[in-house]
Amino acid sequence: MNSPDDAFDARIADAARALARPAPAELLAKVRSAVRDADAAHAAAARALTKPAPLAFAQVLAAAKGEAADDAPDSFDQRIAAAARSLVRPAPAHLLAAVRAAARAAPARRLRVVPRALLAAAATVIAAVTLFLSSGDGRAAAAHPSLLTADALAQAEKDEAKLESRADMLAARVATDPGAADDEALAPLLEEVAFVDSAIDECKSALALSQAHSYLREQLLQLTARRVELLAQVAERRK
Amino acid sequence: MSALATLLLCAVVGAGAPSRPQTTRTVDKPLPAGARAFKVTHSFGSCAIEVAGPGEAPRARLELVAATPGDRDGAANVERRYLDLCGLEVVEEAGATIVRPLFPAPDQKAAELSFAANLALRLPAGCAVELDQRYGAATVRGPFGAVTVQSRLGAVTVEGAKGPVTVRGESGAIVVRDVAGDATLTNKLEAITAERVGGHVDARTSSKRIRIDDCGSAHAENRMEAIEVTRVKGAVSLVANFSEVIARDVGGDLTIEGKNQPVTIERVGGSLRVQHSFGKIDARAITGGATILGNLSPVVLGEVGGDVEVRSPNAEVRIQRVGGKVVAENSARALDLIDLRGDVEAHCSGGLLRARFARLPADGKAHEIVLEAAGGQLDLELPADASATLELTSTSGQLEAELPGMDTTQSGAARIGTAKLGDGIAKLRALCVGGPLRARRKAP
Repeated sequence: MNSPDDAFDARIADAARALARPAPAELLAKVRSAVRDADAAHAAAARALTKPAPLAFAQVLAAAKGEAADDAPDSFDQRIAAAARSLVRPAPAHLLAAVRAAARAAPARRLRVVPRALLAAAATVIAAVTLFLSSGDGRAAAAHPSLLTADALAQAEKDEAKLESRADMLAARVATDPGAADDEALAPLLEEVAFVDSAIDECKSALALSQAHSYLREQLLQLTARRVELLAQVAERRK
Repeated sequence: MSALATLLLCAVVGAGAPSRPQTTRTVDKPLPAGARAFKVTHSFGSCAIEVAGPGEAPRARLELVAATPGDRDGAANVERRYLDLCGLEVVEEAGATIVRPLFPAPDQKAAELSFAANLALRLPAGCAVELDQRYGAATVRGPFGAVTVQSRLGAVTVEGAKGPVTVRGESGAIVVRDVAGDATLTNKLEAITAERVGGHVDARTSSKRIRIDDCGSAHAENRMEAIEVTRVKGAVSLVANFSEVIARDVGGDLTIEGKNQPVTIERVGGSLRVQHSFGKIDARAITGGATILGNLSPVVLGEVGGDVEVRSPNAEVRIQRVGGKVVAENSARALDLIDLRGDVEAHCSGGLLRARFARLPADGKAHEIVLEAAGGQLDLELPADASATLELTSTSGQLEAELPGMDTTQSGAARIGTAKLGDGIAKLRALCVGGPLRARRKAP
């Protein structure tokens, strides 16, 4: 049977293999070192659970959570943060913040289990972000922000299709409303829809030349969303 | 919690990790040092134009990137070949330096290849810049001379220009800041923001907000979203069909043509003219005169130094503290006149006309006040120390006057009351046709 450490290492290795190239050995060493240090802190916290004095327990628990910096400089959160800082580039702040917030919110009784899973998440994020951000010249390993990755492109196309289908549904509803074209109050909205349609056509023509162009994809999404919004207003006013 | 790890991994990989590497290429070109005018054409990426630092030679830098989906063999060669065909052209033409990226014809590009090109220029301060931009954001930042930007499907930002700025956009927000001259900004589907413009701002768009703050003078037109104009030294004119208008701290005259949405006006140094329908109008602190012509537009107008004309049928009208002459007309709703200090001509048809005076006359002059309510009611409150000659008529005979020295006479069904209060300086005639007229003195 595998030990928890082995399982964790296996997960890190899996995550690294899932990416375009393996995680650098230096990174893995740092992450594993952080895990081992954190494990020591957790063991101390667990030992403290058996002590009768509640004050001592609270101190150790606080140290494990990184809230008593003076008493436990190498606490769990601090070690994770130190590992992240020591990498070439930091992970996005909001992801680490989410991990930390989850760690702080974890109940004390799950202290032995939860931090390891959190650590796995944090380490995975760090590994992924590091691989994502590391780049060379010429054939860049990282995605250039001007072009979408294949996954992001697929997602964008899916989102566009959803919006388009909704817009087409609304447009059909408006088209079958005999009074809509003669409704003076709707004239500006319908003119607006015509503007948007023309911009969408141009955007699609440009995307035919560069389908993963991130700016154009974003524009197309915004324009299609605007079309939905306008047609929904038209439909609403015709109720 | 392992689910959390998976989720985060997916988020990161999905957001940014490449499915395969991409190919990049940079083209760097020097530009003529003595050139005073640049015409730049760009597409399929952003264009950023900034001022070259002291001693720095002007130059252009084009960053290209290409990618093909999947892991197909030879993709790198395809990308490289395509990028090698791209270039950056710099030529002199009709006194201007033309800068334009060159892209191969579409038939020279593999169908599945995507590309983007970001252009950055460092140009001498004071030079004129003309940019024709498509499919990317445009930024022109620095003390250039005249700046003209035409953009399709891209946001435009112009900052710090010393000369006039002209931006024609479409489907991208326009932002102009810290500009010394005039700014002419035209957009179609996106917002316009102009801040700290020394000259005149002319802003027109149709479906997103226009915001103008701190400029010399302004004209703005919008159709679907709000216009907000604040801190303008000179005159302002606004056309806002179907959109809300907010105008504050206008030094000169303010003219508004609006429809359907509320109009809010505060502190106008010159005179005010509003033509509006179907939306509420709230205007306060007007130094000059005010003319408000509405239809189904509830009006609140207060603190006006000059003459006032308000006509808004089928809507409530409230006018207070006006220094000059007031001409007011409405129907079917209340017409409230509060603390008016000059001549008054007010007509309310089928509604309630209420007039309250804190001082009468306010300035010791023989002002003439004429109040008419047709088919409605008339309610009059006078100050305890009023000095006025009164003639009050109710054609239906419903005259309630709690005034000292009032003489009343009957003429057919009509009842007429006359009185002289104090020295009788102001002349006040009130007529209520077919309804009750009540007049009273405010307790001292």
